[in-house]
Amino acid sequence: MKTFYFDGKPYTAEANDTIASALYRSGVRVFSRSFKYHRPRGLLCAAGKCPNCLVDVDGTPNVRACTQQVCSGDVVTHQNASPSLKHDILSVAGLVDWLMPIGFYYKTFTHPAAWKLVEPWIRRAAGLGVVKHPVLKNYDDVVEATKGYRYEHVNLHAEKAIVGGGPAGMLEALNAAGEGLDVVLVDDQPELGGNLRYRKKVQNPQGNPLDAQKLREQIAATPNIRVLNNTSCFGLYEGNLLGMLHKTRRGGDHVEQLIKLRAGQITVATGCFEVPLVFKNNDLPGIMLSTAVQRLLNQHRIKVAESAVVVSAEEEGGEVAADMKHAGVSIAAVVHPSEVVAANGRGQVRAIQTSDKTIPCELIVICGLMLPEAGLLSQGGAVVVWDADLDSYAPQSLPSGLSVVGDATGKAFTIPRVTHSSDLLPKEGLDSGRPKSFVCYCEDVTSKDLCNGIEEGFDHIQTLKRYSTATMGPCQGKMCHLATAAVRSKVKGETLAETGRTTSRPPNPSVSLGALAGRKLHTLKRTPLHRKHEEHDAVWVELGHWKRARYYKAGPDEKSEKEYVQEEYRNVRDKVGLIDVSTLGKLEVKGADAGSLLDKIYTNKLSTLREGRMRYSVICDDTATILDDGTVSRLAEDHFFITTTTGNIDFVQQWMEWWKAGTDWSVHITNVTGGFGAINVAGPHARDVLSQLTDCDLNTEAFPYMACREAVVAEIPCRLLRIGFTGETGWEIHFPAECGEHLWDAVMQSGEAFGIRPFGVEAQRTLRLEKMHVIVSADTDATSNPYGAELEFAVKLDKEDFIGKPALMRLNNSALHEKLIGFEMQTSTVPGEGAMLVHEGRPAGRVTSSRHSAVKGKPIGLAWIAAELAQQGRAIDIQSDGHTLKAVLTTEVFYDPEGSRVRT
Amino acid sequence: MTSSVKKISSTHYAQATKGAEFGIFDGWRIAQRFQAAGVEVDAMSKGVGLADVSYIQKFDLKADTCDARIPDGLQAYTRRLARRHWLAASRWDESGRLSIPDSAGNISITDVSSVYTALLLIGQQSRAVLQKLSSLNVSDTAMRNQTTAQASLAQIHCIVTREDIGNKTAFQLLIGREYGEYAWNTLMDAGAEFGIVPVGIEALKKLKD
Repeated sequence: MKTFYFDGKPYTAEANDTIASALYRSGVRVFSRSFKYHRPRGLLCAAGKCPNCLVDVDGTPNVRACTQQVCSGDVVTHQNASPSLKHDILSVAGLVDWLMPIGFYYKTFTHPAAWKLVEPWIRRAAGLGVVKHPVLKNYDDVVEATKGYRYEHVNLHAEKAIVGGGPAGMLEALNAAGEGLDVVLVDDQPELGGNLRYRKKVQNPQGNPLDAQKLREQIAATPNIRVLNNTSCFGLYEGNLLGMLHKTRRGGDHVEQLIKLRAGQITVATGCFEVPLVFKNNDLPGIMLSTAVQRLLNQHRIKVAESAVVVSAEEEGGEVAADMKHAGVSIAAVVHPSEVVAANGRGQVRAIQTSDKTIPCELIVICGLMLPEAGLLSQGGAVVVWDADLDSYAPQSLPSGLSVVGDATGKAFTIPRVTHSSDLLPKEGLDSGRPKSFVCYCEDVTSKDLCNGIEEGFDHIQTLKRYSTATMGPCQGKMCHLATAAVRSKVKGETLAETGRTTSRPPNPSVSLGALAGRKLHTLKRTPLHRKHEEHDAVWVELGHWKRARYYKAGPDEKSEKEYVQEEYRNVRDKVGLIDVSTLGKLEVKGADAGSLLDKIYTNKLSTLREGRMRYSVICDDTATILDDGTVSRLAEDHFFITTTTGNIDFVQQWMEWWKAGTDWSVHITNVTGGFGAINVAGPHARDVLSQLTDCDLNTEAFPYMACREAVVAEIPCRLLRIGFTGETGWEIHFPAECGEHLWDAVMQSGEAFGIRPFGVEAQRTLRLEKMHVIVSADTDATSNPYGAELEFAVKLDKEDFIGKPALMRLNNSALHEKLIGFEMQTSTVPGEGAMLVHEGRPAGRVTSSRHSAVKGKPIGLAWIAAELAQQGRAIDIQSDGHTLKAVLTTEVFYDPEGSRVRT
Repeated sequence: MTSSVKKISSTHYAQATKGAEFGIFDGWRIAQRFQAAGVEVDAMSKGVGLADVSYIQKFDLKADTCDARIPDGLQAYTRRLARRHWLAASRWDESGRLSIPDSAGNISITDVSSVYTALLLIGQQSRAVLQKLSSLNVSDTAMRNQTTAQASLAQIHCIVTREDIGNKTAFQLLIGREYGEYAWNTLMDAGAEFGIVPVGIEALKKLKD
């Protein structure tokens, strides 16, 4: 026995109990309140089709209690009722239904202000369930919100997939497996068998008895059949792709697996389902479909009631009546469907009213119409139409690769068709208001609502659906589609075939957003020096999918971020620092025509670059917009090593491959970003630190600024680039990633005597800003060109055609609209990035970078401004955080404008 | 003189937290075992094991023409990724280093050993683990031994090669080194329901024998 809780009260459940069967056995009859009128609702289908037993389980709303297996400790609560299921204040809505006729949203709240006023109240009153964590701002929020839940995706492939584990599906699986096919058999129940699980003595159309246990054993013994139980198929997509949801428990966690099954052939064996009849008060708790009663009786061994009335076209009430008698239930009467007028009772059935009498009972068993479960077939491209001869919908024109067997064909396979469509609606009173005759249980749509909608002109089945919302609730039309079509047919005097069907769309049944999202994946890249940063107490920042050190909490004393960053900055200016720049994109470009390709891609001239030298360059598109920048180093005649910005490596590689395609150039591009780690050792003592680790001559005469060498550093073969993003003497060292920690340790050890310490991205941003180095995509946007960004030194218009050349030539010969320029604040406030520049009261530009400069002793920055205003010394206002701040524009680099420090 | 350079794979620390005992090969710290080799072999037989073999050499081969001739010494190690693109990788159980020229005819060769983290997923449940992270069809009929495919694995690019060990199904997964630790942790998490265990080189050798 298992114990679980419903609305705070403990209940026990047997081994194979669902939440609904366990509660029903314990005497619970009301499971939910309806969507609009808050009417009490009890079990109706017990098969996961109707909306009557939707509950919240352990914080997950809209779980169907009738199909959810009980787990010990489950906390189940009701939905959409306050303060309790028994006493729901909002049930008063049923008394003022005249205020809420069909389409009242559209009629009443036509003024936006009116809708804004009532929307919160309507949302609070209506709806199904509550999501506990409605706002998730970041990855950590997602982790917190999904505690106790696991969402996974699984990808399967099969030669044949069979959806439905009933008798037809099982027989089809055995046949296909016998032909040697690799078969996947999908069933939404915990055990194969379909209707054989709750019906006695079932025969196939040839009259042969079907034994579920024997079929299960045969399937288990067939190695090329894989059975997926507890798996509902919610959609059939292009390319024979089935979307399925498997729910289970693992280690106390709720597990939802979204399974994507791609199959060569798909057979739909989804069987049929029973739909209720339309009559007054047809939603009272105590009215159940015959298959639901059989499930409770035969599958869960529950005596459903003491006395019952069976509504059936069969004189004796058919097999459900026989099953009930066998279980000791007294059959008060068998009533023909056409004689039913109403159910009587308040919150629970007390009697059934026929055309000539009232029969007391506690349960009304409806032998409803059997309709094929044809949603997947429609989604797969089959045409599903009303077949008057079969008195059922039936699939036609099946596309290749899709087939149907069993009761899903519309013809009776194992379940007899007793009730006819002519018995679905009452003979009269279709448009009468009270008591209500419900067509759509999900949305509380009555037959009168539909009649009104048709009268208002929404008389096509599709417009009627949209106007009334019938068939649009959790059951997605299973319970109400036929009745809606029947009402429309009756009112319009047309046949069901002429009325047509609404469209079946996936997902049905519903799928949680967590399952659609799948596993919590946080695909952050880590550099080879990640652990070294951890050792130095790095504070992290996520940049371009990389986890980078923003700054380090060095020393025993707790300081502010500003102080840590200032110390790192000062150390680079005065001594020496090192920063992990492994995140730079890196490409190897090899081949006889490598220079030609690079000349085509970059604005700078690179084919003339000498071996052992490097150049800064820019990539533009056809309109001269800056796409990326970086360095190009020539390692050999036919071998270049390229760095790109951190987030753009994939784009640059594809861009190069794209422009290479169609040429006959011999050139090959390989992305080696992850293969090379990189550090930048910068500062006045950088040479002192590195010269202890390498035999490479680092003196400026031998290794000048913008030169590159391949050399061994600390026993590791490295590539050294003499470059200075920080404005100090420095080398960018690229090394095999697996040797990163060794190199880091060696550099730190060598630098100890010179006061070396690592610096993070924040200090680097200040160092480079003082040198006015541009960061592409931070200081540039989709309107930036090299001339405006003061990068014209990297544009060589005298070389042959290259990407963006015509546009750059036009720009070169015309006046610029905007220019990137430096500014110094006249106050101590650092303006926010993105702040507006104002000139004579009018917007004139925007700030792209800003930091406090120790060199200048005041905040500095870069900003785009109208070209005619971009003049040295011009006073300008900057509006930031509601304040107007004074600044002065400058074209002069803030630190070491001659560049002598990087060149020595 | 022996080099003091310590080469560590991207999953080194993830392996260490699982109790790896490391040995040294060509400067690489390689997990020899996490528990007794016999226990690891048993776990692979019943479920699935995960090993890091990033120390293998990998070379990217690109040519101007489809009919380019792969150098003789590399042919046995080469798998085709595209019409004019191949990847050569040494085997996890070979101790020697491949000698590769920078170019061969019109084939350009780039050493990408450091670019990829190489993982081995071994055991009868290896397919089930992959199916949770990739839409690649890894069934026996779709992916026979010694075949290669490129796929998305847990939303990152992966070169998957079926590389059975003994009679055990195994897949070699080449992943960008920067995602190595992420891939290791994700595979371990996805394989938990199948009893996945980290395995060392000793167990792999035992399995092969």
